[in-house]
Amino acid sequence: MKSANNAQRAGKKPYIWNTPKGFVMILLVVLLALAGAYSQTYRGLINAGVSVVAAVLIDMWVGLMQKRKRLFPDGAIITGLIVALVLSYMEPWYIVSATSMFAIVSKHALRVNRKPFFNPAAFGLLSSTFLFSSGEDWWGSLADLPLWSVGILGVGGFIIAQKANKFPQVFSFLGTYFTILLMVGLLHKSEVMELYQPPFVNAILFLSFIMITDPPTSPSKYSGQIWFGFAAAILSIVWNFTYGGTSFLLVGLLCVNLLHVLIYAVQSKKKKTSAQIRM
Amino acid sequence: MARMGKKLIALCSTAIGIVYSAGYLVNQQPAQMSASSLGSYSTSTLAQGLSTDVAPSSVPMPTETVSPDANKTQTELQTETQPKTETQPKTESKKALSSPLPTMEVKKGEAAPQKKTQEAAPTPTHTEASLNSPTPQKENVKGTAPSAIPTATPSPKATATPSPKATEAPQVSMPTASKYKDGTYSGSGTNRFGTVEVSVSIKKGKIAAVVITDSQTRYPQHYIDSLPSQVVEKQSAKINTVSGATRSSEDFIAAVQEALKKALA
Repeated sequence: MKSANNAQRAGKKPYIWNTPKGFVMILLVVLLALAGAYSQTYRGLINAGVSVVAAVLIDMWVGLMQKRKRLFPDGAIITGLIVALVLSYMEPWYIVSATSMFAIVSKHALRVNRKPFFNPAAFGLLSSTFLFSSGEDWWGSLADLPLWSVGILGVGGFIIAQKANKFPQVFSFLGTYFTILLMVGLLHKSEVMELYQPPFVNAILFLSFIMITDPPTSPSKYSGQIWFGFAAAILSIVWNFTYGGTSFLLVGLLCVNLLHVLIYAVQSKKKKTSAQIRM
Repeated sequence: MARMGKKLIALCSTAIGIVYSAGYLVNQQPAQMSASSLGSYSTSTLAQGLSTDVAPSSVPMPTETVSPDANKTQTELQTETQPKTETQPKTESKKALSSPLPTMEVKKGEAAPQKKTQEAAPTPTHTEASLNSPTPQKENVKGTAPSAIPTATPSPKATATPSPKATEAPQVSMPTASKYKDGTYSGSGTNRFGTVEVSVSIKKGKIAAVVITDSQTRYPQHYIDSLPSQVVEKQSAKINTVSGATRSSEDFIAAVQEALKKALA
């Protein structure tokens, strides 16, 4: 981050790999390589390729339509990779590509002041769950690897949170999430042991470090980050206890995205600046 | 914009680590208690929980991490776990570890002292075979020897070449198709990711049809839709798990094994 800041101060454009987006891309590729190698099948890699290509094509097409100056689809690559790593690699290619397309379409269609209000990957994955009954098994979070692999995710995630300056959000999410689970355990209300183990613990780290920290769809101020993480954790757990499934983390994130937009819209209205919502 | 200081980051990380660890310990206890209070259950997850109760010092925290061995087919593991004679103490202790109920009746001569069993406990990574260890049914407790314990038929081949790998997974001896009584039998397989219930139809001593009657796992049922036909084709529960849906497959296999045990003539 320092080198990126130095480059900006010097008037140079920071090298892509020094940016938070660049590092997220590197981490996702590493996760894909590890999980793909361990799965002993090419299906995950093929699905990742399909997902990225679908996302990039849609993104570039929209970019050309909007006559964007910068066409490099870094965001689309990240979205495609996240979709592929969360969606089970048993899913057929057309569901994977459709999921990526939903994600990128949501990114460009559902906007407030040029910012998407839903995390694109989460939106695509949840849409796919409702439309195709697809399943998320978070295999890219190294859920099937031995426990030491969580360290890779943790270290990579820490660097991302550092680069994106999203530590309050991550800590708020993880702290709230695990505190609620601890309280549930102390009160003997429900058995939540599974949420402490793979694949759920991997999924929680993957979501908190890689998806929740998405800058356009989350607040930048520390106070905003804290309530964002807090609300996302509560909503995720409420959904999990109510409906179960593997999508509860995505639901929590998308609900808070929506809440964030509503608050943003109210604040904008107060400032007498009309929010332009393009659907 | 201000950035969080390193000390604060370290403090928050430690605090979350403590909350996680405390939650793990607090939630682990009721999970184990509920596992031990169950009269009949059918997966190694619960079995392992009980094993942890029995031998807390030798068995670390259970994880769902499937070892590379878990990717092997049942047949591969079966080959590795060639039947051992009753004189092999290591194999016996593995068998005992795979037997979830400590009260389970064991054939004479096979019953190893509990301490010896604990000492020989392997690392608790789940192998396919351990996940598919047969359910100790109530009737097993009453007196019928569970099928997890192999038949007493000694195998000279196995005694001649004892492989260290063979002791890594407990043996699963499945009955042959010809031993089945005609009728429809149900079974269920459960682990912490959910339950799968199946109905197995036996006609003329053979597996005629397998139907998934209920799938309450966290993953969609269509992932394991191919498994019933595999059982009919192979006339056995020794089928390949679906990669990417290993946990649901394990539930399915356990459910079929339970139903086939009921169908034994």
